[in-house]
Amino acid sequence: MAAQEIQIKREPMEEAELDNRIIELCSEIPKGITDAVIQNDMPQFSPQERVMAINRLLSTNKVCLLKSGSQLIYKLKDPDVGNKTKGGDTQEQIMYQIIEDAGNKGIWIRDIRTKSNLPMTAVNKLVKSLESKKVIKAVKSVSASKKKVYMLASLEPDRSVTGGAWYSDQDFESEFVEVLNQQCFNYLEQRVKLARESNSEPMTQRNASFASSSDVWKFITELGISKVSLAVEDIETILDTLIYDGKVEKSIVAGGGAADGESQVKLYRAITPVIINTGLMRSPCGVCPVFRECHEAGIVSPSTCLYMKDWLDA
Amino acid sequence: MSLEQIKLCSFILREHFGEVAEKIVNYLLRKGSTSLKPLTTECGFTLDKVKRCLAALIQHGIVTFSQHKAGFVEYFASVDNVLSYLFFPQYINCAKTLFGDESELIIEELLHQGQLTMSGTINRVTQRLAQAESSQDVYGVRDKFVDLIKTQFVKQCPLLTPDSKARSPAFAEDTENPEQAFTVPQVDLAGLVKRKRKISDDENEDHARKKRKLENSAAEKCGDEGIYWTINHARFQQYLRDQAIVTAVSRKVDVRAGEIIACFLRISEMKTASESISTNAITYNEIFQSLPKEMGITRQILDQYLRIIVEDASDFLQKTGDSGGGMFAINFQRAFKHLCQAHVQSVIGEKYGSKCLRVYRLLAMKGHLEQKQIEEMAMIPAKEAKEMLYSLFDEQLVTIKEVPKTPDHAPSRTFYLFGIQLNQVARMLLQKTTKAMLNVCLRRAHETQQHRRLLEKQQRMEAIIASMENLEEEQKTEIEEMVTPAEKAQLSKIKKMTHKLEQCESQLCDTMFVMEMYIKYAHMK
Repeated sequence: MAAQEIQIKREPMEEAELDNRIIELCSEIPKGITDAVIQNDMPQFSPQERVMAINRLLSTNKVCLLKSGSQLIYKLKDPDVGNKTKGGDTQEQIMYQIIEDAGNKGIWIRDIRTKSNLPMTAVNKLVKSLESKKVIKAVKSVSASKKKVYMLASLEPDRSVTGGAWYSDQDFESEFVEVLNQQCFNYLEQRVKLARESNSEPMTQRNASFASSSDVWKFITELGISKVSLAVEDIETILDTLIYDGKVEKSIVAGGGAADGESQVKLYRAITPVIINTGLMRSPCGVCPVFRECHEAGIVSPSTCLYMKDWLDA
Repeated sequence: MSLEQIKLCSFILREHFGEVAEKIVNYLLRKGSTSLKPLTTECGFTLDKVKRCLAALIQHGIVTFSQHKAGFVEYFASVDNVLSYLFFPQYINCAKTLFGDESELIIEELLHQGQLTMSGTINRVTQRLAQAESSQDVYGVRDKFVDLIKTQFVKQCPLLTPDSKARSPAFAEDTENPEQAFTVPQVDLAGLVKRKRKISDDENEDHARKKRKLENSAAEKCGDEGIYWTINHARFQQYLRDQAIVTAVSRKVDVRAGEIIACFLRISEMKTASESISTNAITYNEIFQSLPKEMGITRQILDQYLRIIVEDASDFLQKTGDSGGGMFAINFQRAFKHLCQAHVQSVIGEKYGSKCLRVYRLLAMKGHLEQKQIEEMAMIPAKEAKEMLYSLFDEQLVTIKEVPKTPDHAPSRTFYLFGIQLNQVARMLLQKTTKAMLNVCLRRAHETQQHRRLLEKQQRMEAIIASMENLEEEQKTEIEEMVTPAEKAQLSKIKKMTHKLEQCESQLCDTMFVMEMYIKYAHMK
């Protein structure tokens, strides 16, 4: 009996030791620990004792229980969580966890539901309450206009969500892109003109007409037409559209001169098209909307064509 | 051979040869080949009329004939030879810029007559020159003619083989000796010189009678009877092809680069077979030596220009080796692919707007793309991009390729890739251009028809003025006043209109030419 008493007396001390050791292990391995890890570390404790220790820690919100495959994993709980979701219940905390895990990419409300295994109505309520507490925020995604994603209020949304500099409120700013496209081309055209006027050797002229993407970037930032700050990569995508327009050509050279030590420099140059305009487009038939229906002696015919008449009278 | 082409052929033949020829060639084109009999019965003309018409068409190389195995003679018509009538203004212009006014007249005469002997051509040209009071004599014209033969712009018609058994005359085929077509015959021009003097002697003799008489005597004396000459279409086409490349390079790089390419093409002419995809390689030294000295291009500058043209995205010139200071060649297949793309893009840019052009060029550069990728790369809002792609698809300018993930081809599990098939697009544009050409021609004919009375009146008036040589200034104005000011205004308007339409025809010709060249070279291996 006496021995038993001693054992009982010893228990609280042992319990505290076990609790601390588990927390220590958790902080050593941030990915989380399994039951086997605890058992290996402290073989002196029986399974029951371990279960009791875990339960104690769970109830005091020190660790949390996660499932990975068929195994259970114990993970240290973020000390802030307790503060942020103060007053919230466990469901709210779970919600917070899920949203936090999604990072700055955000998570869709239906995905929260499947992860949390809560009914939709509950999820809606919880998300709303978190939103009202300004712990999380809703961001509209550009990829699907009706889809809202949730992320922590402190985070800056990822480019894939906002669409980068070209989107404002998930609308693509095509006018902004057009203006930049124009300005970039103007700049490159001026370069060509200057190079032409220099009257130097053909190769030097050609080289002088090239401008690197960072040159163009500097020009655009100094113009101050953009309210958002643009990166050199943004300008490069604009310059790419100019290449697709057939107005500019790109050439990549090994970057010796680049101050920022890049291995290659992208150079751009305005070009003149090979032909002015094809003959077909200089005749009224080229743009005629009823060209297919046009036949001699038909309702629409070349002899009675009004477009042709206007063109000839002009 | 398409419907539009046949319609255009009909129009050209009606304008140049009249309705009989139009019907006959139309029938021949529909049937492929026929003998003489069905031509008379089906077209409803008398045998004599058909025969004379065929003779004229054969003379102009539009109709050819051969003996069928069964013994009768069958006739064929060729669309291409009729369509080459559209290029005649360009041929004449080419002869003029290359060799001067006399050559222009020589080519004009050959085009008018289809085939002529050398002495006959020289005779006609000297007469016309005499009318224009030019100082050029018979030998000068002869030299120009020889130039044209040597540069192969004019070729000899195949000679007849004397074969008494055959029912149709057959032509000797110079397959073993292609040089034969370009050998200059011995022509004794003494008769022509004498005659020229005679013309000036008895000027008031009846013109027509004299002409007939002189032509007889020319054939007697000059010793080139039976040797007929005609235009070498292939050579002119080759010249136009080279010109197209030169203009493109001058626009893309600069004028001097264009001149270098022109020089390059001049050298390669002699070395390259006319029907090959690319020119033979020419060394840097050869190019430098044959550059005209007055251009003032040093070795260094030439080197730079060549590098610029080679590095240019337009693919006109390729470097094929390093020997002799670098070997260069022009690949016509690639050059015309690029030119054809440029024309197609010009159509898209003008008709559908610059954003559509961006989408099209993006596809041309990247091959196959999904709609989503196109939106992102071209930076065009999804809705707009969709509209543009579908309208391009509707016009058959882009194609769609389905790549299913599962064998059931379910739309939700299939990639839809947009792409371009330039060959088809070029063919379609060629059809459209042909039709536009026909429309413009028809309109021109319509306008002249409408104002025929007025135009005839003007012609009459001009004829009167021309016939009365020593006219007082007063009388002249009197005659001119036959045309009222209102009519004069109308006439100048008609003139402006015809000019505009003709200019348009020539521009359409250019587009047609590039498309045809692209299609031709695309099929060569």
